[in-house]
Amino acid sequence: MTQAPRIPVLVIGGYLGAGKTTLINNVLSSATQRIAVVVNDFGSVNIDASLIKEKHNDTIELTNGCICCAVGESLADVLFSILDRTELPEVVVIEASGVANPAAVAAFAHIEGFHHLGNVVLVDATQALETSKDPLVGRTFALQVQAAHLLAITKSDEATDSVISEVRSIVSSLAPSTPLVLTTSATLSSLMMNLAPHADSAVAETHTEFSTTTLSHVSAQDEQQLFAFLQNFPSSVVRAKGIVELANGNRRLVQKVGSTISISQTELPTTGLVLISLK
Amino acid sequence: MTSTQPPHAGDVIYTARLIRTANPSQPTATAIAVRDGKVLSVGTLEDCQQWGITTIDRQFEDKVLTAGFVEAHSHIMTGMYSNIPYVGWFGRHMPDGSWVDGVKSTDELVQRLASIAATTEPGQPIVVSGFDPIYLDTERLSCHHLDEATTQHPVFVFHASGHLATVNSFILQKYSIEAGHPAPGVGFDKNGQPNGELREPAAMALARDEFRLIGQVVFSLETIGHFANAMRNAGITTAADLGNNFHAKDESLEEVLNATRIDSFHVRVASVPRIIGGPPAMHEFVEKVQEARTKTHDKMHIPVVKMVLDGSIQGFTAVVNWPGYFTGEDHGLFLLPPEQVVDYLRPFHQAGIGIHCHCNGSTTSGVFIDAIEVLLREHAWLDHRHTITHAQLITQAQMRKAKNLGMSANFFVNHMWFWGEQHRDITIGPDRAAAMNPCGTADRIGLQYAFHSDSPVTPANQLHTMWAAVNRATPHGDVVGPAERIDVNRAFHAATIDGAYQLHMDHLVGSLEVGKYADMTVLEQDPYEVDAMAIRDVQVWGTILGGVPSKSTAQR
Repeated sequence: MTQAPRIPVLVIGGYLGAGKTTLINNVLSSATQRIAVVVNDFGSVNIDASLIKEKHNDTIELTNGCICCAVGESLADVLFSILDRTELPEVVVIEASGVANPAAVAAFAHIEGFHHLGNVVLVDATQALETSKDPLVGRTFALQVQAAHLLAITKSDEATDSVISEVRSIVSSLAPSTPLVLTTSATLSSLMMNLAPHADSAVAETHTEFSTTTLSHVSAQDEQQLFAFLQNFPSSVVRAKGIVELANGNRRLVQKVGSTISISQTELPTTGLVLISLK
Repeated sequence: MTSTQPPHAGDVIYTARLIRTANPSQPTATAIAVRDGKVLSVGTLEDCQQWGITTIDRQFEDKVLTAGFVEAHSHIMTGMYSNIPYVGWFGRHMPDGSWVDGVKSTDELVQRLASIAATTEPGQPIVVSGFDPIYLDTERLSCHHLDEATTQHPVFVFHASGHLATVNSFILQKYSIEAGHPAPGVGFDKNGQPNGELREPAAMALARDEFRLIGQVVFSLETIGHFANAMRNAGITTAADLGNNFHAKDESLEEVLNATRIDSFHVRVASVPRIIGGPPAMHEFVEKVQEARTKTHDKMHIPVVKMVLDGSIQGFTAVVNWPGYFTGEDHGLFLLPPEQVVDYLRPFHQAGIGIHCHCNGSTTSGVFIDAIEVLLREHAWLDHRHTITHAQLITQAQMRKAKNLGMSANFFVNHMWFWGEQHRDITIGPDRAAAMNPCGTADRIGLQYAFHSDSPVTPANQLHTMWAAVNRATPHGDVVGPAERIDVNRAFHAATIDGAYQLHMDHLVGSLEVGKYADMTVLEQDPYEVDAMAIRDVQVWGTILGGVPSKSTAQR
């Protein structure tokens, strides 16, 4: 279970039009850490020209320290090239293609130097009913939903309540135990990325759909105990992140994305644990 | 009458026992005159001499010359076997012409690896490719078998399917692939220990250095040179590299242009860019292709582009119509969203760039054909020749529609030999296996078609594809789909001029007509005269490319 420091990898999946690119744009423009984003196509990513520092073939460097890489022919090669960089990113976000199975994409996140944080799969509230029944791509949709550790219904403001409730029931029947959030792209971006733990504050910020809680001074005997502690969170806790000290003085970076928990070694100071819960 | 033009230095007449031109208006000849690398005259020696040419080369007088074979779907990766030893079940020629016997058991594989290890410095990687356990009835390959070959080297056995690798314990230890490893695709034995299997590229990439080595070899200039040798040895004079990215970067384009330009590079390449990225990127893609086309030369063309829509039938990843696969789980998935196919292709169609679309399954063939119908309603380019490549499970209704739309099919007819029994018994069942790669029906309907090998998936060899289409024989002596067999004359055209047509290169290559490149295949026997079951055994002497002979280095 213990791993050497590795770069966490988050996979964003979901069928065509579910809002992956909008989310990626939000992530890049509001980044507070060095993020490497891997996309299928620069053409659809709308990076503010003032943010672009340099463009070379398959990589765009941004002034805020982030990079955006086009996946090109081989995702493995892109990840190897990220490891070859002098300044490593703090997190990698991979945008799976609209027909990709996020689980197949996530399989690459186990390459030495990385660890897999989880798959967030977006479901388009306005299209999901149709897509899920489509004879050509219905199965693709189902595999995507089943690969999720956290499901997010997007464009909920464009769909009626009855449609949303139908979408919820389809998605829940495919993945009954996967946490499901109803969201817009901007709040999802901040939910996934901007978890800056504040050790002393009790409640850091509040969204309409979520509340954020920081548990300061979390300590655990060992990894097993820490893992069990995280596993016992209520299912309303859809995201958690923080650095926790073990009894032997070593520290662990813990992350929870929906139903998945990852624990890795870190040299960074303890921060407490930020929890984001559904209201 | 005698021509009034004076002869040029370098003009030459080749005589032959027989010349098969693939030109129906003059199907056979006995002499061919060459000027500036092109066919000046074809007919009898007397016809050719009327141009005043006195240089007569009689070295092929007892041989058969044919229009040079055109391979419209192969890959430069073919050349990799010169650097990555081949360990497949079928014996095979290597690009340098040497013959490698097939590996018929796990023991033989271990022996092969042990002998490589004996001459490899400890610690240096041993990477082999083409292993095909579908034909083996021995125990499933594991790290323990490979450990018998060596414990001093990382050993990486890349399977023929491209979806699986088996590695030894050295590699498992090197990358800490242990019990409980979280990566999907890592195989474990019943005790929970890794068994050496790494499924799909994601898991193979765990063996970083060895996996990257394959990629480096596949895309090296050296491999491109080996590719040319392999094609020449098979008698192929024009070969497509179907699906590359050379056009995208000035550096890589320049390298390939230079590598193909040198005299010893003895094949014309149709370099075919593969569509990657999303629909918004396609306009820039078209511009890049058009710009790259301005830099090409007579041995490198960029005639069409390629799109890939699904996987393979034997991998159960092709998308097939109801009732789906015969046995086994259906893993068919589109590689691009089907509703976006029109958006992807529109910029190419409107710019007059032909499209070859990889469709193994019937559903994918249907999606591609429907997309072309939409594009033709929008924009009436009548000479598009958009091609369904593989088209293995195309239905009769799809073929009639494709024909009406002016489309073509490039059949992967070698499957009938290499996997015909597996398709009949496992993947899609006897009825649809009998209708796979349906050359006979395509002729009845009037759908234009060619053959390909998809080399290195099957060996590049148009005599073999002709043989497979004429006989549809399997390794156990069965015939799968006798009603789809065609005659040798039809097969010969599918292996020459019809492939050239699909590449929009039929004004340049594919038949021996005045004004076209003097590209010929030199054979020791006439495939029309030998027994139908012996077509694939016809010996290839070599080729003549642009009038210049080049002898095969293949050893038997």
